[in-house]
Amino acid sequence: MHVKYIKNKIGVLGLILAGLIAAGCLVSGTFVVVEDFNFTTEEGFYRYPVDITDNADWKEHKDKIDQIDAVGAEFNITNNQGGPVTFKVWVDDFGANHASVGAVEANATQILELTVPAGKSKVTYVQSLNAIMNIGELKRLAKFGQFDYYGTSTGNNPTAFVVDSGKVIVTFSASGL
Amino acid sequence: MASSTTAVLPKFGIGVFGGLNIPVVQQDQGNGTLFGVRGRLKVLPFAVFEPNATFGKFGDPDDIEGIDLGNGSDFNSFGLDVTLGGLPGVVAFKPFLVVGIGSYTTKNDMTKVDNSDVGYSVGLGVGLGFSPKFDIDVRGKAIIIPIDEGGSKKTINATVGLTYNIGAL
Repeated sequence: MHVKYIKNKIGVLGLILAGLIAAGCLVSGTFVVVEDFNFTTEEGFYRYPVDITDNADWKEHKDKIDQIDAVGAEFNITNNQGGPVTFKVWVDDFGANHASVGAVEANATQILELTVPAGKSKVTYVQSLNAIMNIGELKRLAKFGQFDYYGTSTGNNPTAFVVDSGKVIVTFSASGL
Repeated sequence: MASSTTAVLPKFGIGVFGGLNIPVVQQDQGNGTLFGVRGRLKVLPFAVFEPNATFGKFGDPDDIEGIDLGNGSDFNSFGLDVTLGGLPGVVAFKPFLVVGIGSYTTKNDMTKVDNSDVGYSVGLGVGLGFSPKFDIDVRGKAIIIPIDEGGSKKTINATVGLTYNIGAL
């Protein structure tokens, strides 16, 4: 009698789990994609078209992305301008291709403003998250998997202030496999 | 006569529990810990209602491609579970099924995520009544929290609890 009671309960559990699986609940997840990039180096103006659509996780889930959980960045910077530099990051639709600081300021959305000390420095992902602004627009763009990424800096010597390397980190939730 | 009384009278209990909070397919969260309090109210001969509050945290996620992803999120909830089996006041080895509903809050100051959503849980456990007044239980629950945009967040709670049965005598 007791064994039968337990079997019945396990059967109920199995039905519940089967229902959840059928609903896609158990095969969804949250994934982190990292895109390396190198800004073009011009006078106080940097540009990179972010495209994570070739990432394996993104490709696997691209049709069932539910939300962008977080977007951040990491930069390695060399600042030889002799003093602090204000470095700003902007985003806009993929293919906007703004060609000047003025066009970026007029049309794109600023997401970061950092004061970079002289010498070599690193802006970590966590630091970028703490400084990020206009997160709603950034998440909207990131959901496409492609967006234009711009940087502007005070000072205009392209060899004295260089973003040596960078990464864009996108965390997204997707359902189904 | 004693079993007849046991079947009719409601049984109340209060308990505490603690254990592991294990994210399922969440690369931005690591294994964490939790603790909580629960009441136990036997409302049917085979079922116990358990209002509960849980305070937990996910652990720090693993680095991905050398990126330190920072801290795991806080993960708190309150809700109601129902166990089928595991009745209080019974000195025995007591397997049970547990299903529940709750409000789950995930908060992360770093990513500025602060979501509260209704979620559901299902799991199995086993209780050990070593006296009419005290039960120990071990249970595992799969928690599924649908999110507004679609899909869901999932975690597994594996806990050990101690319950004091106030109304069991």
